[in-house]
Amino acid sequence: MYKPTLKQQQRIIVFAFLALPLTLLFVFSYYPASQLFYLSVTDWNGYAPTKDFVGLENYLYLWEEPDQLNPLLVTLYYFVGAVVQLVLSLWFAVLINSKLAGRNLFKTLLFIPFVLNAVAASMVFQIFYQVDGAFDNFLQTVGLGSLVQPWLMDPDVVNWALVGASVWRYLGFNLILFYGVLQSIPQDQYEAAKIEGASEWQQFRWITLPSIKLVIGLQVLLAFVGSLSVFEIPMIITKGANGTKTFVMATLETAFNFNDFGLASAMAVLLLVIVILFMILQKVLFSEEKAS
Amino acid sequence: MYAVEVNQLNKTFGKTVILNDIDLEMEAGGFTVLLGSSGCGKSTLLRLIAGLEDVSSGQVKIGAKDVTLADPKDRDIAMVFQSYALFPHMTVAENIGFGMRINHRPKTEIQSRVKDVTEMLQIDHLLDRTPSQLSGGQRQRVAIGRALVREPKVFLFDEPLSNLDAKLRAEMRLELKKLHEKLNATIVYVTHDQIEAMTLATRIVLLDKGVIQQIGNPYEIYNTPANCFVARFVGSPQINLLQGNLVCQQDQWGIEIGKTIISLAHYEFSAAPKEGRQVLLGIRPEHITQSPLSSDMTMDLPVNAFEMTGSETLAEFDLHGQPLRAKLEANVEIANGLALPLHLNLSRISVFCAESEQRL
Repeated sequence: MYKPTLKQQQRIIVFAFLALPLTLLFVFSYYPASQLFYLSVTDWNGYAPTKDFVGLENYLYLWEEPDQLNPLLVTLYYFVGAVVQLVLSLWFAVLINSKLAGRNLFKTLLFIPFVLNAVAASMVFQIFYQVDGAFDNFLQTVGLGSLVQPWLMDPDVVNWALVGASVWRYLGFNLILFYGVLQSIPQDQYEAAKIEGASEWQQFRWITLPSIKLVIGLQVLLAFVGSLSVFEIPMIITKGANGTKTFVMATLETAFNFNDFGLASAMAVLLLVIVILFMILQKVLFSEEKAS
Repeated sequence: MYAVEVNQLNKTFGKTVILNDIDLEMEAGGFTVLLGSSGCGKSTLLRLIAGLEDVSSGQVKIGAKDVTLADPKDRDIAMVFQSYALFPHMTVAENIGFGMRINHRPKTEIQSRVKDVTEMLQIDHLLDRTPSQLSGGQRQRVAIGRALVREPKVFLFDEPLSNLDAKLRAEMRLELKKLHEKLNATIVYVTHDQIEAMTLATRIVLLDKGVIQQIGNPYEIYNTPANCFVARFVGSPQINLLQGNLVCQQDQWGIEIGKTIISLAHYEFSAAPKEGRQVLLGIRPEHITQSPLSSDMTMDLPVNAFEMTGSETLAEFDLHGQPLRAKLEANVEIANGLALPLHLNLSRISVFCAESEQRL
């Protein structure tokens, strides 16, 4: 009977373990991605049996009709929100990491929104923001009645209102990541700094910040990608009305409402290119060598 | 130079008592070692002196100043941690100069102090390296450098050598001793290693379960232990503690162990002895030899077991059913069951009450 050598056995094991994940990766990631690139240079409408090659026409259209890219600007609101969210979550994580009484309760309370169903959470905010809703009542109760306005109807504030919902929902996720890395910083480094006379801010500046630099980089990347791919909250709360349409919503609309899969694919490719460029920037700014 | 004084110091975590009514004065310029097994409260005591923990009650004084409620930075101390607590993203120079930097001292002063200290510790060629690029011994020196550069009144060391291998530990021990002589500074040093304590200390404070068992210089701790715990804790191999009864024959006190009476003619009792009292006789293995020099008593005992370590032979004998360990010469002819003549040096024995385990 044939008996494989040790090296052959190792190869069989490696192949056996890799086969399934690689198959899944190619079938559900790389193949669709290649199809995306292919579709972006066609004029496919989503259901026709044929698709004609149109070269870079879809990309040129995006270049010539910048209105098509307007939803990208909505991303900026969410990116600003994400930065606020990162700062807040880091602040809360530092507080929870200290000897604060009831810190486990605070941690749980802040994390709960992240595990809530996205649709349910968005619907809660839809009700919260409606005219004479809970938010207006709250403002009036605390004496800020002058600020009351139609939060979801006024194009000047609606995006900030949606950003507020997004911050509330995703803050817990950032918090847990920051809390995890803060826990890994040895306590005696802070004690050594205290003996040297370092204030709380100096401890944060000289010990905490350099130790969490890589995680900050990762969180900024996630925040940026998250800002570009915002979908659930504006889709459920405003359905993209009053200037709240995001780029992902616009892409889906182009594909499924206007039946222009070619253009939608070009938009998706553009999004991918932006994300890759940002990843490269993040790698340069927050590389491991720099952090160490 | 400043003395460190703690008065009626207590520390509890919930209902657990960590330190119980500690009264202690650590002499100015002295090398005080807080010695004890894990969980005895020695590190907690050091952290209370440093101000890294709050006291439950009592007082801590550095020099003449009451610092019980003062911040660590206001106590004029420096501490070397067991893990060294170096900042991983800073270079050696930045680590050592950290305290001066955050206190906004001029750059030239920082550079000059760092240079002096690193030259003294022979790490001046490592200034641009980060801690991950250093060996254990080098990290240890950087941690000591960070303490030295501040020129504090008191140095606190929390088991600084426990992460080093045996050879390096012995080297660093010697270096610390030299450093203490050079600086003539007050040092409070925590360790569970009795060799470290015996070699470094000018004064040892032995703790158990949050209570001071004995305070004394290494000689006193070793030769006149205050109780059985101290006697057992210090010395390797461990002291022999033989059960017996006090007897008095012709005005001469002795301990009767089985049919053998061991004379206590040289022993100074701290309290009046009582005939028939159950006691424990403490005699260290190195005081039982085959050499007739300084022999106070001779007996032939059968060998139970033995170990040859190269430099010596550790043997266990049977004395009326009780084990008696002896440190013999390396080249002794020995076999299990063989009876060997043993000479006991009784000038440095200890006698403890069998019940309270306190020295009599």
